[in-house]
Amino acid sequence: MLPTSSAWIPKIKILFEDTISGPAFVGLILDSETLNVQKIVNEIGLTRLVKVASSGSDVLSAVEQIVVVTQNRSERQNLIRNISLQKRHASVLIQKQEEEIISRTLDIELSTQEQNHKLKRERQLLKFIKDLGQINYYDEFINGIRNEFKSFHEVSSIFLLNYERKKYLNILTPKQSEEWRRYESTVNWNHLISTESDSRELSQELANLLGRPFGKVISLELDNNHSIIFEIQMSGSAQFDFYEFFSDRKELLKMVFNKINTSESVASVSVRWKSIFDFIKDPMALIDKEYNLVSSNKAFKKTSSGSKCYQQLANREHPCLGCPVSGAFNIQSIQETDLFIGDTKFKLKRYPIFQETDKRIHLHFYADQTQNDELMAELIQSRKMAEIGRLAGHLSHELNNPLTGIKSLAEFHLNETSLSDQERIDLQELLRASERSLAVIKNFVDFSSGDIQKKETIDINEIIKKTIPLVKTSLRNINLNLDLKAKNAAVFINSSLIQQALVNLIKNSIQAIELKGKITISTDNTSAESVLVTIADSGIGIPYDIQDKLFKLFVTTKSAGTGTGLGLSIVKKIIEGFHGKIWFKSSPGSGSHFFIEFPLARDL
Amino acid sequence: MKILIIDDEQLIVRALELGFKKKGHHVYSAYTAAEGLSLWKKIQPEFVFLDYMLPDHNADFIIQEIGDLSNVKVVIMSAYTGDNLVQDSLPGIKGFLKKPFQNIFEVYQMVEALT
Repeated sequence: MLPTSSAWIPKIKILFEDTISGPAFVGLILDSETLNVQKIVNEIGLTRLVKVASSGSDVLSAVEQIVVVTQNRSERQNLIRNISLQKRHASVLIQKQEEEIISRTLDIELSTQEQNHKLKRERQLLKFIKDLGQINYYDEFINGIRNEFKSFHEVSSIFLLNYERKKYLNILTPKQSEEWRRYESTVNWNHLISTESDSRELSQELANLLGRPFGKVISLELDNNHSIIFEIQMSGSAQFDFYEFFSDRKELLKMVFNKINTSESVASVSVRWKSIFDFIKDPMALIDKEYNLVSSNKAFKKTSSGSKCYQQLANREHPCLGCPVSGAFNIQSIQETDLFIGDTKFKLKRYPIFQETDKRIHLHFYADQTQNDELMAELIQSRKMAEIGRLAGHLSHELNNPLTGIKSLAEFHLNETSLSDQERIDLQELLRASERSLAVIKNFVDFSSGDIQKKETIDINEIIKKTIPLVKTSLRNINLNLDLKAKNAAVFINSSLIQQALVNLIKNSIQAIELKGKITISTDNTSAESVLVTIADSGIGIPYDIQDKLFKLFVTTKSAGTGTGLGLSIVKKIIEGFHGKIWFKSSPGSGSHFFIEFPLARDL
Repeated sequence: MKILIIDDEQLIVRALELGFKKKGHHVYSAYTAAEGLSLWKKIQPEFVFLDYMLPDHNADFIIQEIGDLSNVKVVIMSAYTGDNLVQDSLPGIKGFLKKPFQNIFEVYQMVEALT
């Protein structure tokens, strides 16, 4: 059983109040054997109870003890209070700091985003600038823009407009060929775009033109004649993003467009020049002093991979014979040289372009001489024949008269009965000689004045027989044999021209024989459809190095002044003109054989 | 028959003279146009062998000078090539002989043939 409070309260002497650590009392309990100390403490709210004995000395020491304890305690409590105060301050501080940190972190995060965005924008722009640097043509330009704006799915189409021409609008769209599409249009597009009037009006005009509904339009004027049109299906923030993206690029696009405009016009000029050069069918090239090809046209056939002109044009490992490159690079004037490249003869014209010592460049123009030479050869030949014709006319008139007289007198006297045998023989010789002379003249006249257009079916054996007298005087010590054994010898030709050809060949044979020798002209039927004429001589033969080009114009083995080099090229032309073929076999020192084969005329 | 031969080629004149004389004709010869013309007017030949190209004139000149060819038969001779026009351009001409003659006896026979 517990005593009531009133029963034990008087026995407690309150020594002091502990005011430091809140409402607490330190009590001193006397004679407390009967008291449950803990209960008391609870009941009166003592925070501390010191139990002491009732005798006086004990009380004092107890009090001292209490004082010490209390002092310690209050100091501790002070300390604790201080600490907790500080702790409170600190936590407030920490809280503030945390708030600060949070807000700062937020700030930082925000600005990083912004920075990133800015960085991204700049990076994108940089890439765009780089991409634009590669662009040289309108189609690349519009494709580049399409590519750049591809993240904006709401951009449904992009156009490049060209309203240079009054009556037309030219439109270039991405991914199509490089061709502009032309639309007839009388709308003043320039005005419509430059005034930045209501874009709905522009949209409407485009819809009319293209025949389809048209979305919202954003235009960018590139110059006075060109604009880019963006057709967009967006609003709000998407549109804002687009505008931002678009604005970043406006000036850039204008700049690039300007560049393209210039380069396109430069390109079109250079393309035009290139095509002009390629159109020229004669090879042309710029060549430096080391034979290097600086530039060349299409006709300058590139046959090998080398960089030298002679490698590419002539497929040679050494400069062409007669090439002026190494010789006279210092010559400033235009030079002309004849060159053989393969089978073709060229007249090389060489024009100085740059004259500075280190980069001397010449324009080489190779004019194919074949046709020129052919024309020239024909001209020379026809002039020659005309001259012979005049001579023949003159000779026939001058000689026919006395020869007719001689012949007629011989005929008259041969008819007389009172002739001695010797007189008769002499008169017969006279008659034969005059007749032979008249025949030579007639032949000569026929040969030189014949109509070279007329073709007739004629026996080639007869033509050969008629031709021999024309060359007889040149024969000197040469033995001429005829072996005309072809039985079918009817060919469809012009006899005057074939005679010219035969005279040429026989004359060549005669000239090939130095003193004495033999020429054999034979005919034979090599097949049922052809006749072969062979002119064989025992002359000096044809040097191997010119055998390949023997039928070329102006090729001659003869010493200067004795041959024009025309003969064989003309002969070949004449023979081939009647579907004949001509070839030869020759070795230096043992004569030449020339073969002519004609198809037989069908109607005989 | 009076035959006049006008040709500057003496050998031809000689050959014709011999043949015609042998046949009994009276043969007169001239070697130039002027000579021939005066002889023509003087003897009034019935037959004339006239070379087309004479040293002083062509045959046309003589024909023009004579004018009336109704009483005379004229044969033109020519060594000039490509002169087929001669025959057409000289009216009243009876014959044309191209030099060289095929045979002199054909020429002799022309007189009988054309008479």
